[in-house]
Amino acid sequence: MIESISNLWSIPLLVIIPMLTAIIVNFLYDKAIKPIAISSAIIILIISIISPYGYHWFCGHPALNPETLTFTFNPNIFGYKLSLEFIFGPLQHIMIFISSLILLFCVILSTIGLTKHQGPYIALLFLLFMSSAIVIMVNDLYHLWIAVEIGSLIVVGIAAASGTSISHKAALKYGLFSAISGAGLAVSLALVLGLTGFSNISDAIMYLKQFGIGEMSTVLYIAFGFFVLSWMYAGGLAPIHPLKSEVYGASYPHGTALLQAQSKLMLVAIGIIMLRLFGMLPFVKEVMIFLSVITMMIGVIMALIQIDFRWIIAYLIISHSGFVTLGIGLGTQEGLIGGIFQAVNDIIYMTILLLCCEALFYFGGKTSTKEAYDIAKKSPFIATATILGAIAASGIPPFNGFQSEIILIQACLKEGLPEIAVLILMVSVTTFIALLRGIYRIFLKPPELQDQDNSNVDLPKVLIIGIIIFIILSIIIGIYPDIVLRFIIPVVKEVLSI
Amino acid sequence: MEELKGKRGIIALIALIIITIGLLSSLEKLTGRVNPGISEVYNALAYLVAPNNLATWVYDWRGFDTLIETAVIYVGGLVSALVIGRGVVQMKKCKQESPVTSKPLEFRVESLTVILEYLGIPAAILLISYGIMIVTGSSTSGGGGFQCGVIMTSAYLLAAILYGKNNPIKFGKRFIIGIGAIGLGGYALLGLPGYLATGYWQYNIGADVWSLVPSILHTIFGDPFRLSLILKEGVFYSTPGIVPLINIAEAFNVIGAIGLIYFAFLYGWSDEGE
Amino acid sequence: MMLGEITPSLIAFILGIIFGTQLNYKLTKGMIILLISFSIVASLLFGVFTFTYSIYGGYIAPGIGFSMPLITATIGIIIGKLLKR
Repeated sequence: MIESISNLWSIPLLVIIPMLTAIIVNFLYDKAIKPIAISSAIIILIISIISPYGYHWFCGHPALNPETLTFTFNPNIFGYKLSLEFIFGPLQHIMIFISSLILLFCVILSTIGLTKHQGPYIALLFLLFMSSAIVIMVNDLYHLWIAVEIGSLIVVGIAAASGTSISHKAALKYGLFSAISGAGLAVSLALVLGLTGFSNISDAIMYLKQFGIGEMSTVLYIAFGFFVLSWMYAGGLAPIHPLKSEVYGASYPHGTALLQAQSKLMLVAIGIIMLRLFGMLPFVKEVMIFLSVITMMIGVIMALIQIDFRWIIAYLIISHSGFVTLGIGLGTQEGLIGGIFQAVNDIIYMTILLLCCEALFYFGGKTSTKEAYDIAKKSPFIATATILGAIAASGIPPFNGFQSEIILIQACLKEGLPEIAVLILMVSVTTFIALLRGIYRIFLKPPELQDQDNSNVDLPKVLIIGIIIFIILSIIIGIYPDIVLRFIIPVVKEVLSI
Repeated sequence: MEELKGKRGIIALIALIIITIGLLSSLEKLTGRVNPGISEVYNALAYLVAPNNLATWVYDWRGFDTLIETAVIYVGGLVSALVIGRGVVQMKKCKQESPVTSKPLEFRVESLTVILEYLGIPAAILLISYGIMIVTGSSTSGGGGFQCGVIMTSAYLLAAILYGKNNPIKFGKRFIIGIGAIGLGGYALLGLPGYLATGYWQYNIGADVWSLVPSILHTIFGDPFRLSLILKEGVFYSTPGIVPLINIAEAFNVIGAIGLIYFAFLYGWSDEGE
Repeated sequence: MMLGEITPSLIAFILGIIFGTQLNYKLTKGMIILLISFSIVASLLFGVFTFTYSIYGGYIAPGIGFSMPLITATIGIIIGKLLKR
């Protein structure tokens, strides 16, 4: 399945091309950004589609076989790696494909819809993609830490880019507290490194399995604690949810689409690493399930009481992160498949909703649910798309949300946790209620005052195309879940076989 | 910090105490039992690259880590300037509140004494030369790109404090951003020769520890920095390869990033003119 | 003598020119003499880089050695400034 190549060509390009693009557009600042940014986003998308599977050992140092004391460049022969290892497998394939698709639409939308001097903002979008690609591909604790750190810094930038006082406040809060995420991961890394001596995750696990930990298990527990801390901050799980949801609400919707994709990727990547490193310790899965359940509930309840459509979506993203982490926390085959599948679906249907939200900016930018705007009359397409997005988010067939939620529910029942299965159903229903409340006020209800202008609004074609593509993706995955599941199932089997 | 008053503050304090105790106890458990792991191998092979072991660790064994870490500094500069007002974007189609920007600092340099006025500028220039010296010695003695960048930008700050708006070290906007771009871009692209020659990104083709490249490349990238190491074990001829070049790129990036932060915070940001 | 002993000084010279062009200050003759003499004193204090064994690398006698890049960097800055004018 994964070839025995330790110098796969595509992996460095997926990291370096966004970085170089970011440097160039940041330097150009104003002129000629559009062609460069769009073409490099397309190149990234193409690479993510056509890339074969394999490994990349950065800096080209081999692995040392501990038994024969020989060096090898073959990743299939076991050895302690001297270089930094990245993996591009089925999981990375599907995840990076979807994020690069979102990146493409994000970049086009921001070059069309935003005022000039977009260089730094588009640079941040590319760097955000880079950091999430690193997080999902890396197999090294130390590098994971750096990627999480740079990721949280970029999130601050994207949130602050609109320059409003609300966004500055959200950015400041997130910046202050996300420092804890990076620091927590660093402490955890230090402890694991002290125990095993290997920063490569597979090597560290191998060492722990071979030599055991004995009385040092408390150290591993402390490391796990710090890992959970950084997981919470990176993904915005409860009780940190207000920080992340403020960032989601304060950024531009297309930026939020990329932010939520990055956050789901981080949740999946760090979650799987936690399961691999600490899965054998008792209580670890319970902690992860507990956090997920709390996040699901608090997120959806907070979404119910919001009075702004953007903030409703922001809290729903948080709530649905709980589905992802729940699946991973269960640690069974069904659970993991459901969790990762949910992450993919979640990214897709939230992107539909967020792009519809972006469309609202072209109708004057009012997203408060206190007033009625009757957008459905002005643009029946956006209204329909939003409703379809809401249906997908609530897990109603034939959309994709249904497929992953049913897997999650079955996984919970199989584990003997019917309460949580019921909870998943409740969260889905409540999601629908929360969204429909906003949709009714903004799109359907006729305005109380008839003073609004009825001038025609031209939506950018790219926005409409983007919404249609993601709706089609949602329906296709909803009808044939196998096209995504065939990427996920082998990965899950591999994780569980360790 | 309104949020940390009252009950929340107490909870935070208790959590902090628990975390501290846990961390200290695990550090105490690890004392004397830290596993060397892979670092033994690294140390055994280190003499094959730069004479300075630290440079080998940071820029060769873990060179790609350092690239992304360098990007952290770059992003830090970018985001800080963004907060001041460089590159704030708004939707064309709808009105929003006007962006928050910060005004330039006010300088009072009339009170500068004669001694400072005459010795300030030589001190700043010598600091710049010192920074350059530090970066060139990266692979043999202590020092490197990070330090060089910090020293150079501190020279800039020193001159700014002494002379205010008429800063004698006049880094322009485009110069600062350009030098940052050359720095990070250069570091990233220094991986390209290794990638093209061996398929491994950032393979150090100058040092060529694993004999993967033709000798001509090995000579071009390695020989300019080759030194003879006279040690008690014998005489070795070793070259750090691309490590010194990476350090220069690193220094440029740090100057660009920290210089941009200083520039934006001291003089504010306006998009008009140079 | 190996190339690695000369290259740092050359690089320092080039970097000096690059940063010298950014100076916005009128250098008098006295200032130039002051800078060069200060840099020579400083380079004596810093000493040579490790593993340099030649007069090009700065090693003159046991205990006496100049950090050549510091001197060449200062000269580079002055030249860069004069070039810009």
